[in-house]
Amino acid sequence: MTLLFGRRMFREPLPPGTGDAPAGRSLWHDARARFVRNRAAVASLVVLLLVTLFALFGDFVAAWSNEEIDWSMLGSVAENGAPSLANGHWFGVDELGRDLFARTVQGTRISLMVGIVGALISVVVGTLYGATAGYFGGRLDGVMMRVVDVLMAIPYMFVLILFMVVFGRSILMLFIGIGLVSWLDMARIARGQTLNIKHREFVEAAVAIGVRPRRIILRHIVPNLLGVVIVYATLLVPSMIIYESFISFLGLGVQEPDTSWGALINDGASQMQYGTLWQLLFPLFFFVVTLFSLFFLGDGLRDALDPNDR
Amino acid sequence: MTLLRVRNLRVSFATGDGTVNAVNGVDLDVEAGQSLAVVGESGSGKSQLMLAVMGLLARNGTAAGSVELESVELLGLDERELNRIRSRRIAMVFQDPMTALNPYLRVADQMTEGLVLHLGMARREALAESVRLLDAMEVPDARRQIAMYPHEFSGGMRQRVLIAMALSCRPRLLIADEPTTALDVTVQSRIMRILAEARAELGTAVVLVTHDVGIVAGGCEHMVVLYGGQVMESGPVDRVFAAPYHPYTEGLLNAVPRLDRDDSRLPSIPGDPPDMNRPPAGCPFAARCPRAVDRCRHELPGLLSRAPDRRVACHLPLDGPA
Amino acid sequence: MLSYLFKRLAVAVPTLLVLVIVSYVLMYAAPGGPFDTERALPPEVMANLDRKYGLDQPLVVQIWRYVASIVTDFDFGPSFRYQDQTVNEIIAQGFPVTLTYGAWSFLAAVLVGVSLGIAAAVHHNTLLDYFAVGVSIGAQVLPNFVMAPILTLVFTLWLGWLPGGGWQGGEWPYLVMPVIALSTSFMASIARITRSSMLEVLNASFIRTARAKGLPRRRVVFRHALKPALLPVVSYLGPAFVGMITGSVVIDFFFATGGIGQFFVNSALNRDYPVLMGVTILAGGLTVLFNLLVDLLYAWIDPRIRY
Repeated sequence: MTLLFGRRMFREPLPPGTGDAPAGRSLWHDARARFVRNRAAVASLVVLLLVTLFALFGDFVAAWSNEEIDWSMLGSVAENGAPSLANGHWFGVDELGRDLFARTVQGTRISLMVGIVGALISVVVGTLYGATAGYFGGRLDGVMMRVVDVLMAIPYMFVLILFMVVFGRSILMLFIGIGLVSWLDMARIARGQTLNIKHREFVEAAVAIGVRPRRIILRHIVPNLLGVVIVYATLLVPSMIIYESFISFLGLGVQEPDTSWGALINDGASQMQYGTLWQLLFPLFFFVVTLFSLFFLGDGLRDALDPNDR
Repeated sequence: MTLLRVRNLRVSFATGDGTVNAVNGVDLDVEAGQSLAVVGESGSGKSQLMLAVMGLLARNGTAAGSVELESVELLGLDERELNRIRSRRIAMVFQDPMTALNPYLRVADQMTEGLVLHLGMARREALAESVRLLDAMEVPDARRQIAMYPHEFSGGMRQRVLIAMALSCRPRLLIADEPTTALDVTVQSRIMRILAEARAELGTAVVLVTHDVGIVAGGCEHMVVLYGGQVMESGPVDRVFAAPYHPYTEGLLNAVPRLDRDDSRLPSIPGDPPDMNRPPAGCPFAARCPRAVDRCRHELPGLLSRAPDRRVACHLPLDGPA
Repeated sequence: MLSYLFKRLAVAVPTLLVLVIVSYVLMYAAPGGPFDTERALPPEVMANLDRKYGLDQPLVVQIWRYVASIVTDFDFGPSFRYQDQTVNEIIAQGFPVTLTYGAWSFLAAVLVGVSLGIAAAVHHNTLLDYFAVGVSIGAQVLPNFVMAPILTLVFTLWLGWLPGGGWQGGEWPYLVMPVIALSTSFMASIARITRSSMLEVLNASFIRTARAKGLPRRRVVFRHALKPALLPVVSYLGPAFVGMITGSVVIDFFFATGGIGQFFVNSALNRDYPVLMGVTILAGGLTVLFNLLVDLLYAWIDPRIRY
């Protein structure tokens, strides 16, 4: 029923003379208003800020460094290594006597970085690839999207692990490997959106006055994909984090002394039979809370930027 | 005998922006075998009125008042009881035949399920009956066509299927909501003829819901004009057409192209239907009415009888002072 | 219908070829040979080994031989590390295990997910609906490598109900945790997809027609709404399959179930390329095959696709 009575007004074409600029600004303005009204999304944003601050400045607060071994703990981690305010091991120590607070800061930093860098690569590569395919259409589009189809049908995690084995297990390789597979979905989405807007007046006007395709794609199409891309990118960050944690959980991702959430969770899981549960629970907590917040944030952004989507 | 008797029906929807009143106290009578046109612009509440009668309002909608079918109150019946009445007593054909059939099921499956369920036919028997019905609707090669999927049918053919389906259990009342709007003009008249034939043959009363006054003239005996969820005028079609009482009816009639006058500039009613989020205090049509006076904006006119069989809700009807 | 199938095959075959070639080239480009160990072997021995495994041939010949032996004999060659074992033998040993708990997980995810989604949509905005939504949101942040330790913590270490790992020929106590750990996040996704598509379908015009006909709700939901509501779920089955076959690596790794995932991780740590490639290509082949099945299923449900 809202279709009949509520939204009818939005469907009315803008009166002639209404330029793009004020409408555009009010669109973002509306989006912000809608976002702020979504309490779960705002709370998620706050949580994410806190996690980021933790990753950036946790080192300055920590009483121990992440490499230092507390020799007094070694051998009696289960008895004395529990979280304690007195000895400065706020999250306890791991099985090697290292401070878990500092290790968690280090792992959070790497996991967030993988998430953000992976999402960025996918945004840049995927958007350009998809916009190009969608804009030119025809045979080029067919070939480009067929390539995406083929790549998508591959169980990429196996290839990614193969890749890591061949080129060595380093953070850099992890970035490259994850970036290589992450852009596929984004390319499809960007292409679909491009098909929608390439027949709009401002694009056709640009074509008519002889603007070159490269410039049309970069200046006219890509900016208009922004809303969808932002929403999708926030949803990509958690999946990048999950990929990385997956590989590191298997011990095939980041290598000691570096660490990440997946590696820490694996460490904790392998030690839980000795009763040092804090080793599992602290990294798990950060992982779950961050992922939760990212999903809610993505949802909030989608509602804010694309109100017609429901 | 009065087949359908609607009294003071109100339909409202709870939305994010508050309550929307789509229908505000409508009275309606349909006699057995009669054909009644319910006329109004989009947003006048005519479709919601009919959905309320069928018990098919959207989840956030509520209906209040009274809807009696053959002296049985329908409002307040639960889904199970309503299902005994739907199809067998009252059936409905919807506006867009392109989406009203299930694209994932064969036409045969969709046509026979009502017959099997309501009339207890065996499948084979139901299939034969469905083919017969489609033949009667002038669907060519019905025996072969019935095994196909809806997307293999044209819009006009789908509407015939839907009408055949609605009539299959011999309902006493058929509600047709804009049955021809989505179709080509040439197909429209054939659908209207099919409806008229069905009425003549089966004695089914037909309520035709439409915004198109043009198709009312040939096809219906009575008409009700709806505006802002209220009845503006009702009466026999020929007499209303000859001399409308309500300025809104007059506006609608003037907007119909006719052969007997110069239509180079077809008059239309200026303005838009009222915002049903905030219904006006007085007559809903006052804002667009050329004759409106102060009283119209503050006081809601009642629906009063002015001549035998004719009623109008207007402070200043066209045939003289109220 | 045939041309539809043909079009799908036109994607499937190059997919597999690309997979084989990419993985072979990756392996070929790997710094250090497969037989490099801490103590360098005498060059004559190295040359002999290379000849034995055909590694002295040009790349193109190697790939050709590799593909040919897979296609003609389904032979992935010998393992470099597990002496006297071929990749085929390793797969034959691990695959039945993976297949067993994988099939159960897939079944569980689909059956539970679809039922939960339908129930939530039909009882929209009731407690049941909120429960389903809550579960599916919660399970999004519980991938298999998080579920596995949590389950072990609760059911093995605290309650002592279930063994923390092993396989024992697939007796059910050894099956429970792998299946739950592997299926939970997919079950949640399927429930979410089913719910939202079912809600959308229930608002469709043809559902109103069905209700106007006086059909009971059960028939409206299962006969009229289910097929279209399942289409998005069917589209998701392909990615879900990939996710599960990938997740099986974590299951094998964590629960020591002895499936192919365990060999895969060991090979990755030992640079046993033939096993890595064999498992990768097997996974790819299964995925391609499964996607073909999904496409056929989709066409079977939606009559408008069969052209």
